Amino acid sequence: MTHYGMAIDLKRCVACHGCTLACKSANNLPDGVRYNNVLTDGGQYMDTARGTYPNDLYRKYYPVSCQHCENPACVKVCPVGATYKDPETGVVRQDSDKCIGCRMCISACPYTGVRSFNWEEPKYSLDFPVGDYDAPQHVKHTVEKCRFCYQRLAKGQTPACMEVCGAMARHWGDLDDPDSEISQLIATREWEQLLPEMGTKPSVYYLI
Amino acid sequence: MQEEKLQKSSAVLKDAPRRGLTRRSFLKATAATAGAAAVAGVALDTLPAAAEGQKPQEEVYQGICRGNCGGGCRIAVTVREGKVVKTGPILNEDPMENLICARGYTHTQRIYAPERIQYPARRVEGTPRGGGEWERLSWDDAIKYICDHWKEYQKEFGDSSIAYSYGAGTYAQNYYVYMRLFNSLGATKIAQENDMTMLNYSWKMLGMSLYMVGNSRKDQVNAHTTFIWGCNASIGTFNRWKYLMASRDRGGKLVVIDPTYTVAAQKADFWAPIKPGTDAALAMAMIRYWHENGKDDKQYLATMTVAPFLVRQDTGKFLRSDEAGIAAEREAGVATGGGFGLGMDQGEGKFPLVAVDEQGNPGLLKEIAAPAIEGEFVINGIPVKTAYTMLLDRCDEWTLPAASAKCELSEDVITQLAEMYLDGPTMLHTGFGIDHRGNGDGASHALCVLPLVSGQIGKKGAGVSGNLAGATTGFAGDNWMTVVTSKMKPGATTNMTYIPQIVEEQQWCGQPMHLKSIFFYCGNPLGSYSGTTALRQAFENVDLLITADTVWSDTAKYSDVVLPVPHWFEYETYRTCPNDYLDFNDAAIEPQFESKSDCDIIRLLGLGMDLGPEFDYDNAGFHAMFLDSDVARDQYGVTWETLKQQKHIKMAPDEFIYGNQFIPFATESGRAEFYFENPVPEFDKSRQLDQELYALPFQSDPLETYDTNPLLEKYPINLMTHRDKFKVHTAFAKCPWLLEIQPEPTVELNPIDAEKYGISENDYVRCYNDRGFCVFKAHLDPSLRPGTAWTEHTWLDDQYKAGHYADLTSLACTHFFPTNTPFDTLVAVEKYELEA
Amino acid sequence: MVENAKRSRGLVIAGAIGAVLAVIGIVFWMMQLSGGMVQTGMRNLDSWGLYITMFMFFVGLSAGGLIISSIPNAFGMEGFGGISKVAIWTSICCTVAAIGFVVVDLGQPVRLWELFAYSNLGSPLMWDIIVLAVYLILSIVYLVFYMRYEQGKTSHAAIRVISVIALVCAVLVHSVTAWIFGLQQGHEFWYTALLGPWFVSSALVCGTALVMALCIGLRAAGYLALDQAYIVKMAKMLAAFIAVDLYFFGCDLLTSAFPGGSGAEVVDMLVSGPLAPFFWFEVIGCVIALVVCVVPALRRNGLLVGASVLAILGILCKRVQLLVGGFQIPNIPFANVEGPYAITFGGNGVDAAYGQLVYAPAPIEWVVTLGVLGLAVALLCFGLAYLNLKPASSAQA
Repeated sequence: MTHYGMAIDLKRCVACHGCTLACKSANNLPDGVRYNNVLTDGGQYMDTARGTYPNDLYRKYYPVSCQHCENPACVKVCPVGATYKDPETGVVRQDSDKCIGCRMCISACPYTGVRSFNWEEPKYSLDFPVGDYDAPQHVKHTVEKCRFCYQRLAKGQTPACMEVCGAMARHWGDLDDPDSEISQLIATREWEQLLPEMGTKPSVYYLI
Repeated sequence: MQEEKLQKSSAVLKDAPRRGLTRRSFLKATAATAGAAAVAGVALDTLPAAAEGQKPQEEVYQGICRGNCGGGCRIAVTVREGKVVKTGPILNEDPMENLICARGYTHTQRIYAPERIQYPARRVEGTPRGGGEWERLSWDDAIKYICDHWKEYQKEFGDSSIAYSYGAGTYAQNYYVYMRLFNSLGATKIAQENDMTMLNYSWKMLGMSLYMVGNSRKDQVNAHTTFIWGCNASIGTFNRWKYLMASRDRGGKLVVIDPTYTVAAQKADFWAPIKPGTDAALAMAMIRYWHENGKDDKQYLATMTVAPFLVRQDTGKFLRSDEAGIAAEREAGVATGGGFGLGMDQGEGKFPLVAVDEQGNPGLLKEIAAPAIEGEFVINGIPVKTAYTMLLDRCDEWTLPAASAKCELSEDVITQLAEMYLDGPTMLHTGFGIDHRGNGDGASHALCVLPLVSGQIGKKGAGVSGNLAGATTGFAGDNWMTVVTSKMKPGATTNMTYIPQIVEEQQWCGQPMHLKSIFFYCGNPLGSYSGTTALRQAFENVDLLITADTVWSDTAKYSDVVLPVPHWFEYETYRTCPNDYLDFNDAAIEPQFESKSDCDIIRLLGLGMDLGPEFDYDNAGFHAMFLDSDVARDQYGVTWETLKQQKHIKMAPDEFIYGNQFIPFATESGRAEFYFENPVPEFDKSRQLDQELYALPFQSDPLETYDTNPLLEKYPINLMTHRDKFKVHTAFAKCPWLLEIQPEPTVELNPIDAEKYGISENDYVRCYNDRGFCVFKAHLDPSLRPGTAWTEHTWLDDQYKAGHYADLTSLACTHFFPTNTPFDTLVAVEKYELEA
Repeated sequence: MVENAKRSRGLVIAGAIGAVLAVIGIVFWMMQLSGGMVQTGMRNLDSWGLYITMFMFFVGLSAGGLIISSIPNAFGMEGFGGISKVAIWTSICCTVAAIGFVVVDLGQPVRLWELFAYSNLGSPLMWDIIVLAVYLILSIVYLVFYMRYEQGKTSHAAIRVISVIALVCAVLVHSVTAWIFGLQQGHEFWYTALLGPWFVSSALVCGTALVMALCIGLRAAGYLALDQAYIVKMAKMLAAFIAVDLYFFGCDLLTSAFPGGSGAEVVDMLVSGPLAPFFWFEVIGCVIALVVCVVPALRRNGLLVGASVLAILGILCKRVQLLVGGFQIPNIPFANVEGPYAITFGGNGVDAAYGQLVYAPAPIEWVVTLGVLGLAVALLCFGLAYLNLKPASSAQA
């Protein structure tokens, strides 16, 4: 069995937003829709810090997308199975043709903001589709989220955000394979996960 | 056509290995997922493996992203049904070489941007500049209109009445082709000297070599300590960030000296929140401390720098054999303190330099094995001191208490910094920050001396990096004679800082100059330069402003004639810097609309100006000429044709350590020339410089942001800019995807200041001074030192709710290496109510 | 007869108004579907709004009404059994409204069939849909059987059996609705085992209040006759239910606040934060209702109706607190979850978005909500007018 996961080195991440844009481009995401966001744990606005100058300042970045949980809250609550876990890869997938738009999954997912609903007919700044030719469809009034670029996985490629991280902060691989780079990293580095108390067992690790 | 494209594409990237982290995990992924598709057969809609047969025809080209950010990334440009549908990274065997940032993914939006200039156009007569009323022209009419006017101006006002201004560059050869034209016209060059002070200093002192003044980029990983000084390395030198991280992974330490808690500071092991504009004092205090404690590298100073040179106390010049009464022949290539080391002394030569040995006896420097680097002597009746003693004298003022008071850092911190610098190998990572203040000249000088006195240069992991160490591969291979034709006429050189002065005085350096026309290319001065209020006023008196650009920039909108240029990926060219490869830039699609490449424009203008067959080349013809040099051909085996085939040719070695006996400094003396014996103004030669002052580093007040400036009462906030990860100058400013993340201009204020001026998070604020005003959305950020604020550099005029950031800045500068000084800006801040 | 006709005409007019509202609502619902739900106030970080609030509320009203009216039948008690048919019909109308609110909240209502084709039986939403459907059918069966019973076509035992089943189902339907929220570990405010029983108690509060108000109203209108003793009984029951409901509320607040961790944030949000008006309205309103119900001197018809209305609105406020409150505290409160679809009051940073009520309904939601209410009113009125819902005794009179 394969269980794809991601490890993001927060010591390296400088919030260049390259991952966000790689995703946006590859998946032909509509305007205003992002599967990945780089969040600032700091002040009120991105890139600002909190605290007092100069000795008590705090700022940290978290690139956040779907955590592809082993125990996903979203999958349990979807009444029609439009969001489901791929048994072969551990990827939590999303079927835009099936979704009835009840938004139960958005509400169930503890990870604020990783799922988005197409609140209107998707809009694009260009009048032709961009990105991967087999990018996912974007359907009005259905829920979307990161699918670990399943179209790429199926071709043996990595997700778009993993292709090149300018800070080399993103690592990707099979968590079930103890020899994989990601497994090694998790075994040797200190890490944290988002909201572990929710019991969702995310497949995204933040190396700290 | 289609066939040609297919052929091209097959030669490009299709079969290039595209690697992930490891090939093994890759193959495994393929097997697993293909299996899933076959067995499970779930949700076919998003299972592309099943649709493999329906894969549409796609071609992938190599483009070079060249927004002058310091990256110059290779981009995989995917074309489907004749449209560019995706731009992403090109993967290399070594993942450290994989480069791209957020902007690189957004080229589809730039290529098909609504703000593209589509055809040549002329401002409708009788309408004001910037009024937005345009009359479409054919290329023939546009060229004729320009050339007719130029010929008229030349006749009436002389060759210097036509000027050309280029921006920060596009790292490609199209940037230089214009010089061929304007050199032939004897036109006035408005040199691009923005952000260039520290670069100029470093080149002047250390010479320009293969990696400018640095080691190969990869050498960063060998550094034990890296001083990131006045540079937000996470954005400013993003392409080097992973090398910084790699050095840290190997136990290295990052030290950041910056007034602002930048992301680099956040990631650093040690952050020194220095008071802005006091960097020279800190550097000089470190030098003084090293010397006082016997920690200066005397060996390095004696052998690799001008430390042992004797400076005449009467003239400030180096003592030469004839003056010392030592018999010797004139020779070429002796330190003069001028030039970049590129143009060696071509004249009759100079008498050799004199030094004293350990016993205090004078002799020819080259004949003394161990010259004294310190001391005061009288030789042949002439009082002299060694250059190093001169330097130490200059630094003497900066005792720990003096520097501590100046820099607002504790003596302990300064001592720690000085000690950490010696815990080498140490890399000095710096760039466009310190020199953005009016006193950046003395500070640039001081910083460049640090590696020399500490001896932290010329060895693995030690030297200068950051913005000062880009590869110069393109320069190395280029045929520089391309910018010269048989019609070559000498033209005046100035820079943008002086344009208002020239327009007012109608003269430059004692010669009459009546600017009638300025041709802008590769830049948007009215959006991204400083002092735009004064510039616009000056331009009022210039009759014909012409802009060649891809998009309607602020400058294009303000021009009289605009010429459409294709997007980077619409014509063939190659990258000249800053990476260690020579890279080909494919034409992924044809130039859109009526746009013409820079080379094609130069052809039309050259022919229009009756310059003859030397301009009758197409894009490929010009490019073939650029690469037709002995160096390119013989040393690298590169021609336009081979480059087109190979796309990606290694030019500079991975192992390159600059500034030692094996690779000496590319200065005239082969040494690091930290003492300038003849500092003259870069442009305004009519000005008299304080030669003594400019010979050595110095700490002076900034031009506007100094503590005792009475203006502070009216304008208490020091407004700076920061490099913007979503833009390069104004390029990418209108990209919808990037605007999603950062939708509008912001200014970040320390909460203490915000409270003082009644400003809350998300308020709109108006920053203003005597020069102009600008409205930003305010965010509270304690990262900013109280009394300072910053905004993104920079947005287009119509993206500000009102005013423009650049209008707030001034053209004030010092004259040795005059440049923009945008950080040297005081403003008042007040809450602003947007009109409903 | 003339009286009856007049009364019927009144009901028909009211029903017609409801129907017109329903039609308007449908038109606006169509607009919502074609122009996009971007026209609503809902966004990704507050992805449910007025519709789901009303859904919760109406499920409660329906269940409560049915429970109250079934208890006498189920346990063979004397009393307000006479109003059973009206109460069942009211419940049916409320159930229809509740289902209506779910449907208008769906992004893809045309895919509703998938619920049956691809049912994920593990989803609490699926449970709710099943229970709600069963409940609706059962309510109709209950009503039919009741009518047949009155006509002597079926036995009292059958009614008892059906009423017991209906009772269980009513309790279940509201528990399951609670579980839609209460099983979501991602929302601290929702994730409590108390939510099920609490929903039932709330349902009993508003169900009792509704039935009591209805009885007093219909009695005043001469639709049915009811002994004041029964009203007093209902008032006492209402008081008891309010007390239980407030007790649950107190328990929940204490449990949240006591550890002083993130739960304290929840208490702050309710007591002094953006949700305070809804919190205090509920608490004070319910306390007043409680007082009116327990003090004999205050048990006057007008005041009792007032108390009922206060109790019902109090529970509605509870629903608002629950829904909006669930989104009011983000799990990942970091900067830059922005954009047109992120959050209702976005664009001004985290604190600005969360500093106020994180969600407010947009005009279209009010209109569609009125439409669904109109549908329920139309059903209710036409039912009262055309179905034989009067108590047998009163009908014979």
